Amino acid sequence: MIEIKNLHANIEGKEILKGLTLTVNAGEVHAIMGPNGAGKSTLASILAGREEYEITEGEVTFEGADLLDLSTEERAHLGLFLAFQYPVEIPGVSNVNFLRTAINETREAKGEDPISAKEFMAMVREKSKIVELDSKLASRSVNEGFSGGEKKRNEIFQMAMLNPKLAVLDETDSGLDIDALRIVANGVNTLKSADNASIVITHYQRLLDYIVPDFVHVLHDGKIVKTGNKDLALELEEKGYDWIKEETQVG
Amino acid sequence: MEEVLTQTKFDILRTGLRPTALNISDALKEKANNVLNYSDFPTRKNEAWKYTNVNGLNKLVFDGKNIPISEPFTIANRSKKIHITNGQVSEGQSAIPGVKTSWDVLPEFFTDDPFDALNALYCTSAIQVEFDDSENETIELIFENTANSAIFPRLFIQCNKGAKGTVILNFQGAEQNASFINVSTYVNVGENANLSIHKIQKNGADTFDLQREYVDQAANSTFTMNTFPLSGRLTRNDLKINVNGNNCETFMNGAYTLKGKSHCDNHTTVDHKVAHCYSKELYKGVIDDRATNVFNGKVFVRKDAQKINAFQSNANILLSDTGTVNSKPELEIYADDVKCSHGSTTGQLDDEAVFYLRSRGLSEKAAKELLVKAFLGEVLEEVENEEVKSYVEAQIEKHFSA
Amino acid sequence: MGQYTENELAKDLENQDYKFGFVTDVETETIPVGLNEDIIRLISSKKEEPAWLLDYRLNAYKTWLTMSEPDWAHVRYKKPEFQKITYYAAPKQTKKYESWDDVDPEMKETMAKLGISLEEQKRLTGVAVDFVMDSVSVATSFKSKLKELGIIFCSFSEAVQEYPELVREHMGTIIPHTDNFYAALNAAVFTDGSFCYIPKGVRCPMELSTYFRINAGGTGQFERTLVVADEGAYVSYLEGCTAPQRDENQLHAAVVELKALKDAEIKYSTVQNWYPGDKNGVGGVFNFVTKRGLCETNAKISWTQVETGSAVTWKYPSCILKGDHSVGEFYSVAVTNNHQQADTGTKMIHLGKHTKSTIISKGISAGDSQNSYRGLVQIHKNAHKSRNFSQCDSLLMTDHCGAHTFPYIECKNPSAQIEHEATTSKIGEDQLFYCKQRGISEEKAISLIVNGYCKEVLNQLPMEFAVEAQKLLAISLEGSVG
Ligand SMILES: Nc1ncnc2c1ncn2[C@@H]1O[C@H](COP(=O)(O)OP(=O)(O)OP(=O)(O)O)[C@@H](O)[C@H]1O
Ligand SMILES: [Mg+2]
Repeated sequence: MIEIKNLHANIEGKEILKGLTLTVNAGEVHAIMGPNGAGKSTLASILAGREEYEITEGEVTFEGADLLDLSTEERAHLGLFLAFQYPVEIPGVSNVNFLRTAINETREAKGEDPISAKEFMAMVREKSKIVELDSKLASRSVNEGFSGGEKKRNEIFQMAMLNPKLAVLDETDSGLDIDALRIVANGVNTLKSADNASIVITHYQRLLDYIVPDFVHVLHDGKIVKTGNKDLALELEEKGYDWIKEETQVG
Repeated sequence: MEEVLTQTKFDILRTGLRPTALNISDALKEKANNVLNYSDFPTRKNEAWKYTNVNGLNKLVFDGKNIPISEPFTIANRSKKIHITNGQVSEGQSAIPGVKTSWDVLPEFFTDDPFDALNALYCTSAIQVEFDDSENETIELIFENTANSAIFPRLFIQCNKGAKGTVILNFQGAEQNASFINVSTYVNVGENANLSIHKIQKNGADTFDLQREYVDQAANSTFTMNTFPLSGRLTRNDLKINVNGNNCETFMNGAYTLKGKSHCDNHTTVDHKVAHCYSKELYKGVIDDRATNVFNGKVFVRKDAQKINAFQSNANILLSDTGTVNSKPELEIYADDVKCSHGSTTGQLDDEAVFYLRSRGLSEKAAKELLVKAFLGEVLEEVENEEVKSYVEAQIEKHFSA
Repeated sequence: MGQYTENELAKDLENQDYKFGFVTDVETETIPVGLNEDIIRLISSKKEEPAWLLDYRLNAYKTWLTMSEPDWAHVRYKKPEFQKITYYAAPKQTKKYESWDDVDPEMKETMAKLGISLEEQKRLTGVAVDFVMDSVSVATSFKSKLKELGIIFCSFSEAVQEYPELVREHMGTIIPHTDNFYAALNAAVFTDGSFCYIPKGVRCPMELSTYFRINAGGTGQFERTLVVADEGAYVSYLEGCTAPQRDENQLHAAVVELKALKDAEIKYSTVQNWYPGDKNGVGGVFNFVTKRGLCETNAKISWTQVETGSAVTWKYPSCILKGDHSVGEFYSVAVTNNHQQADTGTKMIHLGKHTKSTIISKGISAGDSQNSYRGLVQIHKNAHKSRNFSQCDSLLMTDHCGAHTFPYIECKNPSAQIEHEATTSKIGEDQLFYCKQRGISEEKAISLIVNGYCKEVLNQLPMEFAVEAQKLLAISLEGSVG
């Protein structure tokens, strides 16, 4: 699905990613954990194609294509989805209108016909159920005035609507209450299939009780410094990151 | 060729004035005369004077009659002080390093503003204050008007590279005073310098006070101008700040309390000529009786002056049926990567809040006073100098208890 | 990088034509160029006007001669040469079309190109349309249906003939000919326009609409619109404008007067899309318009405008809130691109007690354009408990355009509450990225975000106008991010 090789990236002259390597195959769930400022969101942003970052070295292949050579929207058309850590508000643009534009642009890129209004509305109804999103939110402006938790749920709703190949969830669990956490996790699990994959960035082992990862990676100082299974998350929860930091310093 | 007007209001005004005793160069004299010869008092048609009429200037009589100030005040206890009485630097003051009061010849530069020209030609005193040290020094200039006089101070405030300084301009006159105060202030804030000016205008009820500040800011500097027009028949402040260097910070604050027939007009312009700067302006005031307040704040962001954050706010509380508020906040933006905003509100005290306080046992008067003080308090919070702050606070208190 | 760069996009769009830039090939009847009393007499006699109207014109002309062009607006342009303009141009044989079939086929085609085919409109929307080409009104549909309700909706010339008393009673009462330079000029030389009267208590059941179009070269368009809503009446009025693409600057100096009597409501919507000139700023319409409405007790006037066209715009649709409890609203979207200049806004004059006004202005500047909001909120002494809320936002699309805000706030009543807010910023990078991540192209994303930004205003437009306005916004901003 995606293969990231020795990725180095700078922002404003400061190196953030320092040789990151990661492979995700279809059907897998990968969790990425790591201390604040390690570069997790940076990785997500770079995968999605944010232009502020300068890639100095490395390559990323996604579905056989050279990802770094594609524009943000082309990546989206190929099925890359990023659930933002801080979803932005777009006043005056209704969620529904936004999503329909997104779906139709993707369809157009693939040479498909636009979605019919009926089909679209049926889909909205079906998918908003998955994340138990109040139908009123669908007609409100994108994220405008949404509570923190609603924003996160809306991200998963959009993910459900766009049905991506690879979803990168950047701290989608933060700011969620217990119920919302379960709902969001449930949404992610429902959408899981043998053809898609996800990268879940999180600070809390809690989420991984619901979304059981196949791999857990620790990102520290711009690199994946440790990989394990879900037990690694438990160990981190218990011991913090210091021992890993020490380990890597020694190494 | 423009025609020389036969007899302008300036001509009439000038007949009652004594030309400056200081040395001014022929060039400056000519320039100033030229400006005045082709000007008349501004009228409504002149956009910058749309709401302010200065015709009353010609009714003033500079008879020199002694009107002592009942409660003269100084603001900063530990500051170095210079007394300027009726426009003249008082004699016998010990020399203060960095302050110059005598001149071989007055500096040249000046604008095409007729009131600046007037200031040059009739200059009563010229004072230069220069800060050269990173130690924050405070210098207070105390302008005591103890007679009906016309005074024309010309001030040059220089804060050199890396230096820090505070200037307090303390204008005061007795309640019955009817003077004409006309001040031109040139300010230069050097690289990495930090200068604050606090101006208190506590003038006689019939005094006209027209002031202009021309400020140039170099890179990485911080400049703060706090203006407190507390009383006077007509107060007009023109503050023009050119931000010429990157990474500057500019703060402009004003609080005014107007009653009787006073007319107060604050015009400010901050001109962002280069990128990466921040400016913030907050003017608030309370207008009672037949008083009028005018606010005109301009923010310019020139082409290529990217990454500018500029905020401007003017809020007024109108307490009487006969008062007037005119507010004109303006943005003129020629660069795109900016965040600029302005707001202006005019209204009365929040009835709900008054009611709330009364339900807690305050009298209506006390409740209103409290709310007004809270309203102006937002400006005072911006004032770092504690002595200035507490003085103005006390004045506001007095204003409302009178 | 395989990306379609903004530069490429800009290049593609550079040659994109103004969609309405065609010229209709109908025979036009004009009069000699220039302006003097004889020309005015000629216009008046061609229109078989009563003597009082000729006197009105001549009087206005005399006033105009003493006036000078206003120069306070934040716009720069070469002043029109008033002696080089033809003040009357009419598609030939316009004399009263008996039926739709009598209308010149070329003209019908023009309307079809403008997307306002009368037949379509009739069938689909039930909008009554008056079509003013150059200076003369050519077709008014639905007249009879309106007549049943006592609603008068016709060309101004027709109104002068058929309802001279009504016209005489109201014309020039809100915008006197002495008001300003262009209002005076209009009063002297106006050739047609629309007239609308809604009788007491009648709610006009359909949107009334006029389409203005300048067709002939070298002409100016000086139309006059007068809408009177009698007590308790309601009307929603739409106005659209286009002009052909020409190298010269054509002058449009219209006057619109609205009168909302007690309890009446007038909603006046404009989509202004006059030719803006080419990308180098050559040609385009000078749009110098005076629009003002008067509200009596409890009346409401709401101006909504979407301004995308014209080389230079100078326009301040205003409300005089004379009656107690009257309401004025101004919703505006002004887009400028390339070398366009717009200085537009409103005046809300609060005279009555408990009067209320709302101003929502959204400016969008792109290219090398200059876009200014200029507004006045004036609360008079007796306007107790009046309220105003203004929100003026500007969006900057390039680093060589300008966005300016010049609000004047004047308050003489202590019980009034005025709130004005303005912001200026660039289109949000984060919003753009978010859209793109969801697969939306940059151009679509801009259009989406801009439309969202203007939503409050677009929501005020009647449905079919809103759709057109959204398309126009998209067209006007194509390739505009720099
Ligand atoms: N635009 C920027 N300019 C300068 N530094 C930046 C910028 N964006 C990110 N950084 C820096 O890059 C580093 C990595 O940031 P990133 O957001 O990827 O961390 P993170 O692992 O997601 O942290 P968190 O767990 O707090 O979300 C941080 O030190 C951050 O300050
Ligand atoms: Mg992060």
